[in-house]
Amino acid sequence: MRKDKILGAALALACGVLGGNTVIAAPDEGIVEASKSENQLLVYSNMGTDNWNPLLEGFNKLYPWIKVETLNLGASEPISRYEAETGTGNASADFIVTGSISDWIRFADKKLAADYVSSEEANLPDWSKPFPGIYTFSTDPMVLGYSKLLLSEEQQPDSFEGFAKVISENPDLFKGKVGSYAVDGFGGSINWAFVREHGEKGWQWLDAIGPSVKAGDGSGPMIEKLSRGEYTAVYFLSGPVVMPKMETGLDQVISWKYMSDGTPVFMRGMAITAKAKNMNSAKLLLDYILSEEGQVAVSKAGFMPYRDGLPEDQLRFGSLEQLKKRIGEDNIIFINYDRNMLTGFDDFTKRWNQAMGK
Amino acid sequence: MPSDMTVAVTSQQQHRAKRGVAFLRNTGFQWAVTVVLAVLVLTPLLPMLVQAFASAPLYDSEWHFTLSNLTLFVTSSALWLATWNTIIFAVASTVIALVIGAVTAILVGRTDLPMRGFIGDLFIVPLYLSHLVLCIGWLTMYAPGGFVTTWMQQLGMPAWNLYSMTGMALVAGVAQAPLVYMYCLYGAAGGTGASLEDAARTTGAGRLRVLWSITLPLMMPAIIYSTILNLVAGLEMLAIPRLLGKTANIDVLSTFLFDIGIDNPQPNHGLVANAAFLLMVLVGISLFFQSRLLKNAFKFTTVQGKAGRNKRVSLGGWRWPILGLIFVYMLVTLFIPVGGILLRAFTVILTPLVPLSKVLTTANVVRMFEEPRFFLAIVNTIEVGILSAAIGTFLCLALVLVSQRSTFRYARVVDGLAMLPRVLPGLIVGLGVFYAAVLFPPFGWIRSSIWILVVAYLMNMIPLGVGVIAPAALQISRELDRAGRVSGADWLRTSLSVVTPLLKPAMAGTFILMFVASLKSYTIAMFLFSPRTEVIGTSILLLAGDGDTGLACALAAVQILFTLVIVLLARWLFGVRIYG
Repeated sequence: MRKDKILGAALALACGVLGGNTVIAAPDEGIVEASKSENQLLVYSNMGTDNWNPLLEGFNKLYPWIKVETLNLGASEPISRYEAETGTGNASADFIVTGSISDWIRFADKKLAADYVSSEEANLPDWSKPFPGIYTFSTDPMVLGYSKLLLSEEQQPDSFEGFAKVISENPDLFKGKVGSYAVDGFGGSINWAFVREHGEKGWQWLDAIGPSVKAGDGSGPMIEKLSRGEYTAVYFLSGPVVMPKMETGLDQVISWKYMSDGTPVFMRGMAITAKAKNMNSAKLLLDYILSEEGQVAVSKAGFMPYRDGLPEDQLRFGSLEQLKKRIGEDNIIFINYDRNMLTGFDDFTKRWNQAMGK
Repeated sequence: MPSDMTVAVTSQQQHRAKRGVAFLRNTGFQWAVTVVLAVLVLTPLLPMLVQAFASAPLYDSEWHFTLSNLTLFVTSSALWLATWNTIIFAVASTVIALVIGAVTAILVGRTDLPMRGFIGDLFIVPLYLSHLVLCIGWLTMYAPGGFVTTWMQQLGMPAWNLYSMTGMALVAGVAQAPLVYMYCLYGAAGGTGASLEDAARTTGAGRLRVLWSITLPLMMPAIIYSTILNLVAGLEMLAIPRLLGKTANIDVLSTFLFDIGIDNPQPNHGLVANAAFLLMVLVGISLFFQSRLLKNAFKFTTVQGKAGRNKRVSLGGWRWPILGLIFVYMLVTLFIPVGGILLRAFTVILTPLVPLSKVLTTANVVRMFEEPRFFLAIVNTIEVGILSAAIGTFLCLALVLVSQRSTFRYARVVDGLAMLPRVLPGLIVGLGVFYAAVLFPPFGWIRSSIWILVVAYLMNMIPLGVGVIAPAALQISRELDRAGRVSGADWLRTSLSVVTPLLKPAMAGTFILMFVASLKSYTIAMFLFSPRTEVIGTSILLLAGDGDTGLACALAAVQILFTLVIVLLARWLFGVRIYG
């Protein structure tokens, strides 16, 4: 018991040293003790094992006794699966990380999140906690992607305005070869926030590129098609998907760019579930991800961390703070939990279809 | 003294008691088999029926009966379009498969084509591979941006579009052609009609006339049977429409089910159940036609005791060009796609625009073994395969013993129940077992284990196993049963000690066939897999859908490798030839 305390203190100290100036908030002893008698922590997420590895490595250094099992699903699945499983009285996830606006709103309305206030609460921006018990995991930028084999450097602009222009000027090069999300689910919330921010100008851009666009893929298939030359360009490509892939040799054939006139940033949400069987382990995981060290691990996992003051040299693809500096705070378009989206979505979809020439 | 009497009475009583025990044993066994079968086949069906008329998912505590699903279903234009697409897709792919398969069967079976034995073995290889794996191979090589497509475009050849109904039907047709080939080859093309053909020739009929009037009619039962099987396969096919049709916005019933039932935040289970029933009805109609058509078609069957030399039609100067054509066909439809899978498993990207040496990688294979999810999928696939094939073999044996070799009152019911899963597409078996596991508490515990997959696979594969064991059992004379009974053994003893040993080769064949079938299966598990119960097939489909083609190809390569090893082992060690 005492040994554990000393070990805990030493670890906290060590993390403080590693993490820079702020010390990781001391974990509640009671929670740590209670977590030791719990079983494997089950996490549903829309992330891959390779995303989880850096996070769990750091987490398990602090709490080696907590075994974490992650199940990787589509964006909507973690929450709907949790609902279905708890609805039938089956065991389900203790912890959920996913990015699906409408599902999180429903999750909040049905009060499915555990009522726990993170020990890191004070260090987080207000917008990062949209509903009680629901926190932000990362803020992931949506970018433009290009085929280096098919486009010259001038044909790869770094703004949406330039993107719309280059497509209207070179219809043959882009016709049917521009990929993006459709507006069901994930893509819907990106497009919604994009047009909400840009207004009529945003629609004009979409009208201009619409005839060239083949919407409907996820980021993975977009990258695959871009790399094979099936697509010449894609927009609203998910940063955390494309950036790590560049390191595997894909940078030979594709490139990606932030949009200087407005980069949509997706708030990936996370929560401890109300019916978590391993509540204490889940609390420790939440606190860890929100800590400075955890946010650095989020970066190592390929996502964009949003806590201010993170050690820049340890970040893999930068932080929200750096992105703000780069394109200006005004040009960050938060894809947030906008309830208007739920009510106004039919009209929005009609207008979007019109832009796409459907 | 009464002692003699006592002895006599006792022996009579003993005899009666013994008969009583035997009766209990036999009927007990027969009932047990029937009940297991009925539970296995019917439990997935009933909840689906309920779900079709329920206002909310059955797992919600509050639902009531409603007709609104039906209304929604009848008025859903998307669903009707999907139904129409399904029919077109199934018919088109069946026609393609029929033409390719029947022509090859005639060439291999009835002509002097060179190397026909080798061609025959090669032609059925696609049967061992799942549609999913073949489709990924085609995707890698022939889709827009695929290796061959881009290469051809560079050479100035016209572009084609695999993302179309034509593309879908072509891939499916090519994948199903071996089935037609097999049936036709062992039907009439195998040579039973040679003497009839000779007779026709002597009366002055030309080669084409003989083909048209003798060979083709003789092949009719085989053609009808395989056509219906392919039609059913086309109706329930998921991978090809999902991977090729999605980009072109072509929805079929299976992808419709997948999209609203699996890949959806709030699945509309009422609509899912209705669409599932529609799919079953289409399959049922196909099978009904099959039985009707076969009734008429069998009038052509020839029975003769005289063995005639199987005279082959000479192709003359066309022998080698036709052989060349077949090799080109095999190259294009089999070797290039499978080669594409292997290459893609070891590259970052696969395109002629970048030299191969620059994109070689072992990352895909390393990830496959390092990520527990995929490694577990491989282990699960083997476990589920062995368990379901082993249990399935014994279950099918028991079914055949009861339905064919017993006086059990409901033997015909057993027979009918055993064939029922044929009308159930894999996706729907999975869906039904999912509902059953939710609804019936005894099924609940298997939900998060691989046993739920085993149960679903078992149900799906019963007709397959019965299809092997039943004909084999028919060949065992009933005199042997009677001999056993006369020697004092009861029905069960006779069945187990006399009939069963003679069925050992058929059982080995069933096991291998079921194991290979479960290896390549992916649709059944689609509705059922959970954290630790993914199988190779589901992983491949999900990865391919996510654009993680490299890893999908690595897993596909593993699946091909396993299947190859098992098929070859079965052939060398046990002399079992699947599909032969």
